[in-house]
This record gives sequence, structure tokens and C-alpha cells, in this order.
Amino acid sequence: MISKNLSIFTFGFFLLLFQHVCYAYEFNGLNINGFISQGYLHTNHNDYLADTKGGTFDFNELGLNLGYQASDSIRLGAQILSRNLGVDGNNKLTFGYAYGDYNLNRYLGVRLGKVRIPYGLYNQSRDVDMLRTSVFLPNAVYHDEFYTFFSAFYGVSIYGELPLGNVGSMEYEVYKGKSEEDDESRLVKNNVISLGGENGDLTAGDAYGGVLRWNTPINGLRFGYSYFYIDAKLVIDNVNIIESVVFDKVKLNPIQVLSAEFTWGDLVLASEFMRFRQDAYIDFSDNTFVPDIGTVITNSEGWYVSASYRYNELIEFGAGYSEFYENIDKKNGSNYAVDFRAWRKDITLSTRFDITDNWVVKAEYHIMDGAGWLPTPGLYSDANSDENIKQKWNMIALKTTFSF
Amino acid sequence: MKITKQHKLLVYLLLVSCLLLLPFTVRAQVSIIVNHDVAENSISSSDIKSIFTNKLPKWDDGKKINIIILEDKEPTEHFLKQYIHKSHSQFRTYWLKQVFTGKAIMFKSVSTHDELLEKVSTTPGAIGFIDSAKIDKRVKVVTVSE
Repeated sequence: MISKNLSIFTFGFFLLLFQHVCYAYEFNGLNINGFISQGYLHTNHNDYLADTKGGTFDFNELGLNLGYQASDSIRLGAQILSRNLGVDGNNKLTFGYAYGDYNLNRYLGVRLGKVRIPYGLYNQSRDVDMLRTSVFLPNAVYHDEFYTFFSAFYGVSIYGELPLGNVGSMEYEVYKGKSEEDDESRLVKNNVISLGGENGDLTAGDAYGGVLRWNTPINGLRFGYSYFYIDAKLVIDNVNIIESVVFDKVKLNPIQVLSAEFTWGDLVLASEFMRFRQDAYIDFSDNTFVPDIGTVITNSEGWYVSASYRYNELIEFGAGYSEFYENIDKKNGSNYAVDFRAWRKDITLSTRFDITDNWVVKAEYHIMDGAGWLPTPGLYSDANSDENIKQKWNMIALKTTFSF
Repeated sequence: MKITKQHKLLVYLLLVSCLLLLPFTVRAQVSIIVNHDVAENSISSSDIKSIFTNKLPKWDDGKKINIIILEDKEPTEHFLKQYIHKSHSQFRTYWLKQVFTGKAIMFKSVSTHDELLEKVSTTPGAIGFIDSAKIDKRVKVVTVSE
């Protein structure tokens, strides 16, 4: 594990080492790029994504990308990734992706290995801070709670771009494989704590889906549609007298996203709408005295609109608004002990400073309404308990990234 | 309202001021250059956009297209606006996204016109763009069709 102090030290080291523009390093055909980020989060009420009430530095990423062109058609690539956001990641070294790419021509290519999930417009680059204006992608569509499932899959994908003559072109990617497993993820720990269990065991199942992106004949205007299915099994052990709770046949069935983006000069406008259905068959292991709960179905929904504008080479501004509803049949929270746990609305104002081509600093302010999908009380602190949680709250996010 | 001599003088001074503020730099003519092993003599403007956005990775004969970029605002900014419809920073961010998602290896960059000509002439399947006045026999110039 890489400690926070080491991460900050490494960041300083990189800053001192690279003071000039550099696109990549190459050694005998092996191309090397990298990035390192350190963030700070502070909420005035409620914990969000980490132990944020009162402030936390528990927010960083470090990535090293390796690329090798083995032949005219075959490219090999891998990203060694370390990330930390609250309980997620814990700076364990993993592969963000690691795959071989066989490109037949512009219309057809195949990727095999651990591949980033092409979900929405920006999911494949969600860990790379310097590629966007804001600190966070809109959480209403790009859920950090489901990062384990949303980040990558092990399998095969087929991709390409089809020219459509006067109406532009259509990019596509379809894939099938197995989703990621992480017993230490927030998804698992939230359930362990809320059920009073000791351990969680997540077993990944099938993952498949696809994305279509239509590049219209209007320069800068594109639309997208994403479809994504996964299933998994989650066992929470030692839950008091019933021994274990089994979330059997958990399915995100499916997740669908509609996307639109328009780039006009230095202005980028984007909007996405996401809906997903979650099916979970819940039973109590071998305990025959407690009847199974059966299948629980939840339909969730989220959307956002955003704008970013590059004012000059140094400064970029961004603004966005998003809404997320955990259960679209109960948007007003009528079935919740605390009604505002049913939604989360977020006004975001962002500023990005490109100090050099390699060094970015960001500051962001979130005005929040609602507490949908906040961390389970006890995961970080007692700030999210029914007694302490607040409907109106704010967050400051600061982040700096060095890349080469 | 009566137009006085002072008004005319004011308008004249404003016009002169505007003219003085106009940029008098003459934009360099940009040409597309390739390695002599590239069979194509002409490339459509839409294919140029596809090549420089990593959507067209190979020439018609199956050879890998290798992009070489001059680290110079001019003519890069002019080329990017004309053919790729992106600003310099948008183009850089676009390529970083390609690289950090594993979809591409970063294009090669050089810092002088001579290095650009040398790199294009010695890299199989290479393509670049350059101020037309700087071209020499080491590279082949391709025409752009609509």
C-alpha cells in the first residue's frame, strides 16, 4: 500500500523533475505516460464519498500507462493504477486496464484483456483528472458507489467506426466478459455495516453491453447511447442470529444512458440521462427458520447538464446541475424514514488552472440538496445517521494533478 | 443631430485605432507531408480529421499511420482549427484521453521544422503538417481533396 504521505512526496518529486512540456517517454518502442493527483474534500454536513465532514485528504490517484506498438495492427497497453477515495481503492496497485488491441481497419478492431467499460461519454477516462474541467464527473450518472462494477471488465470487445456519408459517422463498441470483484469496496462495506455483519464476499458474474456514438455532420455535435448489464453475488457473513445474508443474483438489468455533447469553440455543453434497474434475490443462507425476502427490484435514475468554457490558456470554468433518485417510484421519499434520502441534487461550480502543460489545479464548490446514496452511517462517522443527517449541505473539492 | 468636424475626427480616429488593432501577421500556408513510402498522393479533408483523431490508424495498404507534430503554435493552431476543428488545448486533451484509456500511443513531437522533415522522412508511414515554405525533397507533399 502506498501511504498518503508517500503519495504527496511523489507528487512533489514529479513536479521538480518535469518542468517542461513532454508528451511521452519512449524506451525501445515502449511508450510511458503517467499522472498523479492529490485532492482535498470538505463538507459542512454529511459524509460524502469519504470521511468528508470536517475535511479529508483521502482522495488521490496515481497511474502509469505503458503502450507498445507490436506491429502495424497489434498494440499492447496497460495502466498500473493506484487510487484512494474513502474506503475505495486504498492505494492498492491494480491494472486500470491491460489489453491487446488488434486493429483490422477503421471499421473493425478487437480488444482482449481487462478493458475499460465504454459507459456514457466519459466513463473510460474517469480516473484521469486532467482530462476534464471538474474535479468529479457528475455523480448522478457516474456513480462512485458502483465504481467496482463500472470501471472495467475482463473479456473481449469489438469496436470501430462506420462512415455514414452526409450524416456523419457512427462509432460502436460491444463487449462481453466478467466484471471486477473487490471485497474492500464501498459497495460491499456499506452492506456489511448496514446489516451488522462481519465480512462481505463479492463474486462477479457476467458483464456485457455496448455503446453507439453518432458524430453528426455538425462539427462538435455528437449523441450516444449506452447499454450495460452485469450480475453478481454478494454474501454478508455473521449477521447476528441469521448467520449470513445472501444477495443472490444481483443484476444491474440493464443500465442505459442517453448522451449529448456539443463543442463550440472553447465552450463544451454536455447532458446525459441514466436509468437502471437493480434486481436482487435476498435469502438467509442455510437458515431455514427465516423465510427468504425474495427478489427486490429498484429502478434508479439520474441526469445532468453541464457547461465548461476555456477562458484562456490558464483558466477554464465549469458549471453543472444534476439530480439523482434512488427509487423513481418514490421520488418524494414517502417510503424513507428521512424523506430526503430519496434524492440528491447538486449544483456544481468549477475552476481549473493549467499552471503548465503538465500541472493542473482545480477548485470546485457543490451546493447539495438531499442525501441519496450517501455512505452508511458508521462507515466513516455518525454524520449520516437519521439524527445527524442534513438535507442542505455543501462541499468544497480541491485537486491538483501532474501528468506527463 | 448635426455632425460636426469633431464628430468626423472622432470617427476617423476610431477607424484608425481599429485598423491598428487588427493582427497584421500573415498566416503561413500549411501543407500536409508524408513519408515517401506512403502511396497516397491525395487525402480528403475528412480523412485528415480521422487520421489526426486516431480514427483512421492505417493507410490503405495496411501500413500504420505515424503522426509527427511540430511543437509550435503556428502553424499547429491554424491546421487544427481548419481540419480538426479543435483548439490546441482541446487537441492535446483529446490525445491524452486516447493515451490514458489505452486507445493510442501518443504521437511523436519535434521542436523544429528540420526535425519534423527528418522525422517524417525516416519514419515509415509518417504524416505531418508544415509551413509550405519550409518543405524540401526529404518528404512527399499530398494534396487535400474535399
